[in-house]
Amino acid sequence: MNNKEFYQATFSQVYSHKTVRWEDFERMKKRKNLHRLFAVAAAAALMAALTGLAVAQDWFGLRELVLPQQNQVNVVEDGIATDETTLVDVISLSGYLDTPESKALAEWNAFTESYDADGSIIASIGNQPTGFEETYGLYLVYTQEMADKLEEILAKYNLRLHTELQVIPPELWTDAVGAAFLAENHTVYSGYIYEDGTFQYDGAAQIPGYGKIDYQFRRAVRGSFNDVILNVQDLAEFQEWKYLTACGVTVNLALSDGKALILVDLGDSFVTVNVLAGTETSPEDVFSSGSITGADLEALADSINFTALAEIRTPDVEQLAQAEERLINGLGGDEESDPLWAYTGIEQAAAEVFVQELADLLAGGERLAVAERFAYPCNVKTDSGMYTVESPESLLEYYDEAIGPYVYELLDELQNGELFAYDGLVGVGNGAAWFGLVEDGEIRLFTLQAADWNGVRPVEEITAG
Amino acid sequence: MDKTKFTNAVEAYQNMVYRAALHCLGSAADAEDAVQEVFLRLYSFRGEFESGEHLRRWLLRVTVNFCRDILRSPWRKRRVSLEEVPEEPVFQRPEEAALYQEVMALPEKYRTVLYLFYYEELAVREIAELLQIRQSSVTTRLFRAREKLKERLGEEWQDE
Repeated sequence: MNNKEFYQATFSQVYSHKTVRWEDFERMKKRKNLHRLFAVAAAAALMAALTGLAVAQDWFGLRELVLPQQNQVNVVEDGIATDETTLVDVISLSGYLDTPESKALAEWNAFTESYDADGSIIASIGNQPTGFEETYGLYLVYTQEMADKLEEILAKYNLRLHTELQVIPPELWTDAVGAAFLAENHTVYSGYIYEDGTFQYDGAAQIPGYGKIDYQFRRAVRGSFNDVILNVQDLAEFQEWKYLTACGVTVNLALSDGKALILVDLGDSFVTVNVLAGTETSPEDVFSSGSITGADLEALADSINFTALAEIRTPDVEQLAQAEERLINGLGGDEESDPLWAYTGIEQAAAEVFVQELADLLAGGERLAVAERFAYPCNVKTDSGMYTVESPESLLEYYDEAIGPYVYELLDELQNGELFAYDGLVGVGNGAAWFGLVEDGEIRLFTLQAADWNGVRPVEEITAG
Repeated sequence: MDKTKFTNAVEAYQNMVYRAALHCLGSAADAEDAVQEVFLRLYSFRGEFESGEHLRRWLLRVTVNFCRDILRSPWRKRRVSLEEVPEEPVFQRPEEAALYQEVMALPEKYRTVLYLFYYEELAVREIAELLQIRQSSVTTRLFRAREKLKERLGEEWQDE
């Protein structure tokens, strides 16, 4: 038996025990849609019902989005949903109430609020196929009665159902939407787009003078039925005003103690930006950097080019598939351009200079200069433990343990390893070094690590921008 | 991709994906997660495959790239320590168990080329393209991997 036969005989006895089924991925897709619905409501419900001063001004825009039927949600205490329920105001994300899309949604919402109220029907179905997946797979339909009601509403308002949903990786949003509508201070986490160009994603933006804030962005294209609503708790808590954004589009802004909204009617579509912070949001909140002001909300609105969204572009499925394959294969885009720059904002030449300079500093024993290349705070791992350091000077205390013994190994990686892009950062070799752009546009080192895991790493997960 | 094609692909290639991921990641649990992720990407894929071989190569590429991204993550360990090597499968012959143990103890960059060369029977050029490394790096890694296996397995591993 030769080596190949030996190897194959051995590893042919190694099996996967995972159960991989088409049906499971179908259910994941359905659950994601349900999760989106409940997550949107839950995100609002998580903002505790604070007493705060209610500044009721002219919130004409919000009032015209509120559905007639209030929804019942669980009361949240200390961030945990209790068994106690309360009625809350919900708004349409499809446009103002005089549009067929929102009239249809109002009827559907009223129907679903009373249908299967105790959940006994859906409980009896569980995860079994309902037979409605093919036609209503993107909606909450699990009985014939629900299907009949939905069809009745669609016919009444001459609307069509969504037929296809495509998850879009963060790097392909411009390809999917067909326009660069976000400024560089935005990061798109994940999202999806429908066949008619309706899309939704979770994202974040860096607001000058404030910090990072998370939001949910939705554009609903007219003509299709969307069943997504947003819990806004109590309309009376909002102050609202119109604002002329930097791109020249006037938007409605709404701000309460726990939430903020940007609302824009673009004619053929309606845009809602659900901002996960308000005037009394805690600095410890995971979705934001604390309480926001009207000026912060205006700055966020200014960083979105709404004019780029005025034209509806339906997703080119084949093009997206090709772009995704290029992404998976690491090509990133046009091979003749600079893929590294396309995904990290750092030109290939600049990245190579950064790496060469770092290697020179390491080889020359320039400890402080190496330490000054890092972004702070960072975690330092040595044989004796893990330490958080706030400055180059404090990193020097651990330099000889965390980096010193591995200089030759690191130099080998830096000088012979290839550069690649991942998640907005530049990696080198086998991941010995990672660097990226920080707020001031400088390139900073985030990670320098040896094969035995000693080295320097970021304190928390980092994303591009 | 339709359900029939997907199901056929799972049946034909799930173990291939698992073995490739196991070689890359060195962890049975991580390899099973990779199986889930790779087939999720196949489920979401909107393109067409020209042939079964095209599909096989696509799956290998996605697996290798996914595993490489896991390994290169800036906030995760670069290498699984020996103490974390998974429980061994049951082998018919003790020398097979020994080969498995020694391969899994090798650094990831050696394990991956060994698998692609010996099990998937890819040419050096094809391995280089898949891993996006130079052909000379592939031959170097194969040479060093064989040396280490020879050193550890003795006559069970033949000279090449």
